[in-house]
Amino acid sequence: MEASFRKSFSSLDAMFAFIGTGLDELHISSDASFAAQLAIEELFTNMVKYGGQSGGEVGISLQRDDDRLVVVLTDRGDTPFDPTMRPAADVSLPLAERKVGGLGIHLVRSLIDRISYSYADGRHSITLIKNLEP
Amino acid sequence: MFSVIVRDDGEVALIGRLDASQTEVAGEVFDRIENTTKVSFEKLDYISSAGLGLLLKTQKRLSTTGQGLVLTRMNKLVRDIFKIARFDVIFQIEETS
Repeated sequence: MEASFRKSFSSLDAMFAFIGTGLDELHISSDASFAAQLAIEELFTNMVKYGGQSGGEVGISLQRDDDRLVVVLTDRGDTPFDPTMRPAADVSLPLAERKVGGLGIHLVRSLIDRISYSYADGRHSITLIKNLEP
Repeated sequence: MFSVIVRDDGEVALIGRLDASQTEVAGEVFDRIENTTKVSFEKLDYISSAGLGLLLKTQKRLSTTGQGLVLTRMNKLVRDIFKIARFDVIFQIEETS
């Protein structure tokens, strides 16, 4: 299943409604669903904040391939922009030195089993693979 | 979808889903906290880095005066996110009995 959302924070409600319904239909467990929702939100909001071309749309597709959940986010842009390569927060630091930025990408890398990025013909594509419990 | 309530005893309750579109609503309450405060997660179903960032910013500010947030009644999914973010070492988290 697939849908597109305007690249804006105001799209989040509609986006979560689509993801929630989609993951239910694919019989994804609540643990994996939470991880997928969080990873999609983090990457989507990075695209909104840093991905340029405001007013563009982000396509999201959800697919179950046996024991794997496959999520693909696509977006148009003039130059390659890989939100998964943004620096992650150092979560080992004490409170006074902890930074707010980079937490999202740390969570994505921790929760998702495989992340890949490609750019071709003005189109970014991020594929997330989450292994599902048998 | 998301709301935040300040109870008569000062405890703050988070309700629903705290995503990146809701941090302004939560920030209005958290930015006014000045003393050690309990935050109930009992009815919070979802949190992402935007909400974690708000909690971190508040904790850093309060820690300069020896105060802090005390997080209570977290469900397992939210608790796991706090562990991954290593927030369990910078916040006091009351275990659910």
